[in-house]
Amino acid sequence: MIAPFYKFDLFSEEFSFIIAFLIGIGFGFFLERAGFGSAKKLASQFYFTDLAVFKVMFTAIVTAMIGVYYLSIIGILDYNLIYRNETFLVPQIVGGLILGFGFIIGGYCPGTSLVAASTGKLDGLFFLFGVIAGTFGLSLIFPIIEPFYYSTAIGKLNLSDVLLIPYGILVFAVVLMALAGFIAAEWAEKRFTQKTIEVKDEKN
Amino acid sequence: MKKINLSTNNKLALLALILGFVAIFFGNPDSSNKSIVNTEELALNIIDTNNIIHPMQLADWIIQGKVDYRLIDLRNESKYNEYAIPGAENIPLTQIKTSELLRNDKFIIYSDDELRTAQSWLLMKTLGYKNVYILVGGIDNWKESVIFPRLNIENSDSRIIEISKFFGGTPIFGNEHKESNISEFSSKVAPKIQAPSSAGGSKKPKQKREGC
Repeated sequence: MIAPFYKFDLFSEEFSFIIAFLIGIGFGFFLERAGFGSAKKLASQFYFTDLAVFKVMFTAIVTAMIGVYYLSIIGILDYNLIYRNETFLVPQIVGGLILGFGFIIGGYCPGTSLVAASTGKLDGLFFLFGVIAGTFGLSLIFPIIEPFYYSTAIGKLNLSDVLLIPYGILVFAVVLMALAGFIAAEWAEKRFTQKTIEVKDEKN
Repeated sequence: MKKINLSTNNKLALLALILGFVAIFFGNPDSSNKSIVNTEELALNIIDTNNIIHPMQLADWIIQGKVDYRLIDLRNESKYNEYAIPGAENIPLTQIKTSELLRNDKFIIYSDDELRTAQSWLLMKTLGYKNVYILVGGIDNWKESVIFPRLNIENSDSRIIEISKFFGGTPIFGNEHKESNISEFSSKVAPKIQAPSSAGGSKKPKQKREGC
């Protein structure tokens, strides 16, 4: 038996909704436990005082990568069948910037706004309304931006395809990058938190 | 020796580092290039010849509007655009591996080369596609038995004539000069099919949606 099961049509579309529901609940739960239901926590990563978001995301990336890699090596998983978004370079850079601005201004990203809203935070709820309004607005102007939306398409890419590095070495490189990132994050947290305190002290 | 106290975070980081390091020696997971095949099932399939579909049978299915199969044209795009069996999707052999076809769907494959089709059948079976059938004789046989069937004037089967007309073809009667007729038709007329909307391919079989 080889995963992904969905691609092999081993369960129906209806059953896949149940699985998606369970995974979604789990995802939301851990986002909330990591403190991502708070805009303060999320925003503080942009001031380098709390880099929990960065650390959680990179941990997830490394965990998933090692899992996918070893399951493929053992032959349980056919990683070619995992869904990947196609790359549209320039539109995705622009989209990323818009999302980043929204993140700093609103204090949430779309996923975490749902977490915040479901724990009863009003700002999360308002952010969610914004997401819906923005999605609606985009659909209205979509015909105008469609050419741009699909421009600079370069298909489904793997890091190892782009960098021409063997998969195994790439796995190791990403792990090293993550660990270096964690160390840098801890250092930055200490440094910038102290600075904020010092600034506060000077003011007093 | 000094005892080193590691926090959970440190232990996990160490584990990731070890797993990452070991990965260097495993290289690429090329699961897509190797596969395990049930040779007995394959052999039985081949002996029983229950992996083939006859053109007339397919024609019947198309007319009935059956949608439980996907018809795959393995030829290249230009040939496909020139003429293809109604409802066929063009997936050249080289793209089968990367195509996002579902393993449990039913596929009928054809091309203009029997040997290549047979090899493709084997390739698809090894890739894990459960139900793959070959259209006997490929596109040429389709043209000969469905589009331009040869009939005796005395005992012509009205059903065959009906089917042939449905696909925009013309039955060829015994005393006509066959060879030139066929080649002439297939190159010149190559009937562009205006099959009714109920026909096979117009309704796409279920396709799984995915993505965020």
